[in-house]
Amino acid sequence: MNKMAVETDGLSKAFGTIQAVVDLNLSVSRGSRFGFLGPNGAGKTTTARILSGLLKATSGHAKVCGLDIRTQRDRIKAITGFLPETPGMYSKLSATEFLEFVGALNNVVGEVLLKRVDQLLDILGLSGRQDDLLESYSSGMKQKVLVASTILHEPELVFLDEPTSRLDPAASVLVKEIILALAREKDTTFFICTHMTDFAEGVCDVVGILNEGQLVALGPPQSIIEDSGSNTLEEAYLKVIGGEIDRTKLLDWRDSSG
Amino acid sequence: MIGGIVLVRHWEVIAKADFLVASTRFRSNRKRVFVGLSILGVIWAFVIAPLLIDLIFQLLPEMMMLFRTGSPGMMRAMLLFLWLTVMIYPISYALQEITIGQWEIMLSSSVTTRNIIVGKFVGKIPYYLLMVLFLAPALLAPFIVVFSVSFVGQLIMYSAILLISISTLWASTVLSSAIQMRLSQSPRGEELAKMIAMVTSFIFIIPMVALMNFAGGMSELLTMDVFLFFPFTWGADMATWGVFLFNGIGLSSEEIVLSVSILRLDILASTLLLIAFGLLSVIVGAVSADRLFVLEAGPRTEIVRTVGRENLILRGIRRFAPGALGVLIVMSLKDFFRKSENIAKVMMGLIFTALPPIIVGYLLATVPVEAPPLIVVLMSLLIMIMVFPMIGGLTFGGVGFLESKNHLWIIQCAPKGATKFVKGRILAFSLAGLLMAIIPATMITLLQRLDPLIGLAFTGFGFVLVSGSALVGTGIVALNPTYETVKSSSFYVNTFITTAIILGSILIPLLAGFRYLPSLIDGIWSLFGGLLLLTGIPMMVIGSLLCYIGIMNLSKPDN
Repeated sequence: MNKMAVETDGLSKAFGTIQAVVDLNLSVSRGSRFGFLGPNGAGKTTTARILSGLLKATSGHAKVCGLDIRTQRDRIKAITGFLPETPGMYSKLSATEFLEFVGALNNVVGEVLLKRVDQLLDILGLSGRQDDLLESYSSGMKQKVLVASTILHEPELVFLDEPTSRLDPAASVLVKEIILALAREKDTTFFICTHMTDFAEGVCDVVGILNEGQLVALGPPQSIIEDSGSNTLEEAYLKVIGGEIDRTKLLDWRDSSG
Repeated sequence: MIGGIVLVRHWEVIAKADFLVASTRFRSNRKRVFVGLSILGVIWAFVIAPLLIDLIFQLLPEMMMLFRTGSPGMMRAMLLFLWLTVMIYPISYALQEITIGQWEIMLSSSVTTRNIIVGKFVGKIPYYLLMVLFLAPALLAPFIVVFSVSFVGQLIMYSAILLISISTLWASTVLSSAIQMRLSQSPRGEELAKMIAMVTSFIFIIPMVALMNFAGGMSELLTMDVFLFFPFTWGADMATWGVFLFNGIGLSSEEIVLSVSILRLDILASTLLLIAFGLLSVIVGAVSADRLFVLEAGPRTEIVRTVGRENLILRGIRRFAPGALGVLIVMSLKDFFRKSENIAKVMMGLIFTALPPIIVGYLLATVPVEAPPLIVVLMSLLIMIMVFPMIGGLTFGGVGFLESKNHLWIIQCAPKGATKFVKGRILAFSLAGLLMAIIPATMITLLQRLDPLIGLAFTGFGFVLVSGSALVGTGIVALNPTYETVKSSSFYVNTFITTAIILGSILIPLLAGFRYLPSLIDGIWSLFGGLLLLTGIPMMVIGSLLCYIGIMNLSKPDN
């Protein structure tokens, strides 16, 4: 079995004149929890979409669990799960029905599936609402259903795109614990795109920071913090990205009328 | 200017924003496009339309007589059409997308509801006046040509059109905003709005069809006094007065009195009533604005729909197909039939598919001798060929296929996800299409007292037509997904292409092979077979091919 969950070699993606990902060389080992940090529009989502077979790369090569992303897309899809940034679900199905639908797409049906659905919804605190139509769910509840749909077929590698951006603190902690438990018990690999540094610091064992499509830092959170002479990952992130705030200019806009 | 803040007229800002949104496709060329279209519209109104109508009258002189003799009724029919267009189109269009979120932003910025409505109304004026500028001449030119109406007369006619259009546009703006506000922004309300939008579109189609087919009878009907209560009648009568008082064909005063005797009201009364209607609708709209438009969480928004136990049909499908395919068919059916707009489409479809037995019954009643079964079957089949495919394509194609791009990604993330998804959809639509085939087939069989076996053949024939057209509709949507937005340009393109392919795949083989049909037909069964070969089968083949290409398109990763 290939020891690497993700390997990219000079992976690039351009949308017209915009370079979303530039010459990305990255290796993520199996069973690790990789955090992909970066500001909005840095290229995190684009990378995750390319690796999960949803988007074509402009140039370069990549392998996911030893499978080529250009020629073995269906095999990659069978062993990976992808949580998109925005919920895309049937508003007229209930949570149970939607999970049954996703299960059927991934060839998981019958008693096994129904048992998994019941247990997942119970863990995620949705068991009282499982038969309500998804149109009545809050965005946080929808996110929980999507998390369930991503891990339903027990993938070897899970791509999570901003998994906690819509969740309240309690639900975020729950998702964090699910990730840690799956990584520990099932050796599942997680590729997490996020701009929440505290979440990455608490969950991930390796972090990569992407800025304007280029990988600018890579390593365990603690080493990135130490290398940048910071106290927290947030501080290190701001130093690497250059997003420090000039507090003297924050209210300048009020005087612009002259 | 107070404290550095410039005071602006809120309605002007809203009108400008609405106009910019409506004319997005023209981008920076808005001014040039609108000026150009206005000039073209004036040329169309005063030069092209009269010339074109004159040409048509030379080819069809009996039409000229129709306008000459039945002008008051015809004018009312024409203006009823215009009135419905200006009244219903904005309502139908506005309800396709509930925009209460925008209202919340505006109301939280201390903008009055009156300002919002005035802004929305003013923002629509350029767009709808252009529409009227191109539509009205086509409706009025026949009268102008037949009666050689002078410039002053034409001015009166177009003033009537302007008055009725502006007042109706205001009324429809108030009405659509009120409906939007009452439905509020909840998934259920949005869905109800779409359903209402769809039904209003059909209300718009019915008089149009009636106007095309039963113009004579309708004009008689429209001269009845009861129509004096409708604003379009006052506008029509004002225009009719303009035609007769300023005619250039030398009608005597006796002839004019005789022609307009049916109108009951003179030109002054009609004009005053029309102006009063305009003023009244403005006052009512402005006064009721604050009462009608209150944002609140109504009791409907608190309703949470919970699904119950599956019905017998769904349980049967699961038993028949216990694997993943069965689940996907069941979920597709649930998703489709839980949307009110789809229920409205299916109901409309059922009404239209029930037309063949009614039309056949009506046509046969005009035949003096009892028609042989072969003729009954042939007539029924030909009408089914004309009606069923369009209904199938438009009911099962179009919107609701995918709810968003993220929805597509969830499907694409599964191995061969798009293939499984489309297969499930097609089979679900075919099962739903069976309903559309059984009901009319049963009606034809019972009404014409045909053999039950022939009834079964009718069901099979109807099923092939509906499911074949559903294949075409699904294939087109898979090739160009609409992501649920009724208003998107993809939706209109898809509807047009679906209709064109369905018509082409039926008519081309039918016309090519029809001459050989009589020699092949020696009875009812060969008639079924022959027509199936010339219509349903080619459509099924083309539909299957489109679905295959559509699946390929959905499966491939984005560039």
